[in-house]
Amino acid sequence: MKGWTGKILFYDLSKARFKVWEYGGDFAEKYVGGRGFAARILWERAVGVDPLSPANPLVFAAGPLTGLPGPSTGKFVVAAKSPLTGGYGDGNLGSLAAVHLRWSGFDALVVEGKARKPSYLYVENGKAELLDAEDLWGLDTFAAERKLKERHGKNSGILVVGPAAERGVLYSTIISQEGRAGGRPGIGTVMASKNLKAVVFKGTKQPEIHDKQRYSRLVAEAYRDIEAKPNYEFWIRQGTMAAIQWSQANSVLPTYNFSEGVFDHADKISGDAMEKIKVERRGCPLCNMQCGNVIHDSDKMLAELDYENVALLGSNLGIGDLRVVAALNRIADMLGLDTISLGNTIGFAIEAGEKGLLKDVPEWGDSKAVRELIEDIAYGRTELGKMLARGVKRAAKAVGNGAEKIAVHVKGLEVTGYDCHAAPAMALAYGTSPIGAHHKDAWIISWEVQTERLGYTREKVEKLIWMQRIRGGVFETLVACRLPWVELGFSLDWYLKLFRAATGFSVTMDYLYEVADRVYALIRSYWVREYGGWSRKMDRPPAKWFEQPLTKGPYKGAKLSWDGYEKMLSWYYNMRGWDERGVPRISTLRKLGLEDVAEELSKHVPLSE
Amino acid sequence: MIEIEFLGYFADLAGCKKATIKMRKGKVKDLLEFFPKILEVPRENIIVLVNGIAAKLETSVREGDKVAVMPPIGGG
Repeated sequence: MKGWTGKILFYDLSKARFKVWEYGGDFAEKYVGGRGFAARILWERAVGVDPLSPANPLVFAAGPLTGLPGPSTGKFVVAAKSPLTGGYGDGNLGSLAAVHLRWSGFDALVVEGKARKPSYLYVENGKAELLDAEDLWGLDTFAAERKLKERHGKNSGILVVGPAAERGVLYSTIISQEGRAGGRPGIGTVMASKNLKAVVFKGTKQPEIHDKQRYSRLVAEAYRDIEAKPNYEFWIRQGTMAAIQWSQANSVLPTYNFSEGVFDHADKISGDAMEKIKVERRGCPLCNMQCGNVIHDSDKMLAELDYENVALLGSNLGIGDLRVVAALNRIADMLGLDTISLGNTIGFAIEAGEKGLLKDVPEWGDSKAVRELIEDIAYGRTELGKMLARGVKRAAKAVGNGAEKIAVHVKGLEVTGYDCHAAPAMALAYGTSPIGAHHKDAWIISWEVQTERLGYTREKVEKLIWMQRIRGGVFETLVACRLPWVELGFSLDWYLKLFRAATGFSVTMDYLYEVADRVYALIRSYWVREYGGWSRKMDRPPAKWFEQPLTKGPYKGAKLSWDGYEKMLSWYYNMRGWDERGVPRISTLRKLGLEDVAEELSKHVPLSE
Repeated sequence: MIEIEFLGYFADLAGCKKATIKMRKGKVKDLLEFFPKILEVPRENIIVLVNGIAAKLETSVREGDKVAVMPPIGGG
């Protein structure tokens, strides 16, 4: 086997012992890597487990392109059963850790059990050992990583969790390189629940490539192709921050807890405003279009900005000051909190306060109070902080009195940076994302605004599935960053060529699409099994977009229609080969080579033929 | 007068972020004739809004309208 190392490291923290699984070509062919590997491993090993128990496996999974030279391939998938949603949870993280995992001879690391005391795992060239982390426990993510760098060298790949994860905040992420974050559905919380503060990877051997000469030639051409794209220079200047102005123009910028799609102070937090104060760029390894925009924040510290954190901690909270937003983002990263869920959950609290459902909460735009609240959440200092630490779904339930109507989530995962009052297909993308509300699998809105924007059409559903195959399938299994493709128009053919040269597999895109469909059906089966059943209500977007119309902007009065949404959802299920409940049919699972999944799932719920 | 705004890298192609064009009425594509580099971009990669509402290159515009033209983006 070339391209893959063919090895997965299993580490049992309870016994401080590891074993190596040398998997065969069948496994690689069927699941490719990344999310495919993670989904299969969780299907087999995370059966009915409490997400915060030692039995929940924590998976770090690379793909056959990870860590090989190539456009934005320094990424991998972190996954576990989510404590936030109770279903499949993953995140895509760019880090030297992804590169060094592969260079130490493994395609994935699966951590099980629980260490007796705070520890960190050190993986180097085929071996792993558990080391003491008493001195790291309690430190913020930046400080902990700096200490580990001093110990293991600045070029090691380091993943850490922060104080938020240690205290069980359910949307804690895993952080690397002081700003790269992954695992929104509480994957950092799972890591800390195992007494695992960090994982350090150090490897020296690049995985073998099937046709090295061709691969090297392709990579050089691919990097050149990216740099020749007409919008490359603009991207380097603004990265994802250009989306602030774009979303404002298209009335989808989340504002005041997703009540509006336009923000009066959008100009102050836009890409243009950022460009004037930008001091440097940061990003993931192996990337030639790094997207981290660094500015001096309101504390005069260097801090990174991108669209999502500015939308959620800025306009969504009524904060129109970029330096202040940058400070909030830096603090969230240091504490190890997901900035998206954080901004969403605080937005909920502010609106609940406005409606008289909660007392002693910040007001819109009160960044000082928001900052205090962020620390209260991470450290569990107040009752409000403790309640919001459990995510918006649980917080709304605790508040009661109709608060559920203003909680903006799907399946318990908070919605990311796009308001959908006037975007039915984007609402369906959130409704059907395999981890709960996230844009990473299908950011369809850019295409939707060019079609019958407010329509509920079959064409939108077809396009959504196509996007999920590529974004949620191809990129999440190979593993590579989707941004060269989605942002600069770098052709998908490159990835197929690189995959073929790396592995020697003579396949077409249809093969990668089939793998994507298999992984989607497997992840859906996982949710259904873990929930002990399914209902299409689970795939519904937040009620707010259907019941509380926009009151400002060009799309004033717009809201979604339940009938229209349900019609699109039925088409979606039908095209995926799932039944009217949203459960994969036996025939679909068989067609995708998941006969064993069908057999197991039928023990939990009746399946349609 | 019709106001036209260019977002993202389209501002680089147009050479300005905003422009005002003296025209009573016409179509969006007529306005873009003043910005030939934008018209070199494939049509499916040009997003048009007229007064903030989704529109097309063929959409009619008249005095007082505000037009925004931008590329699609990937959204992170």
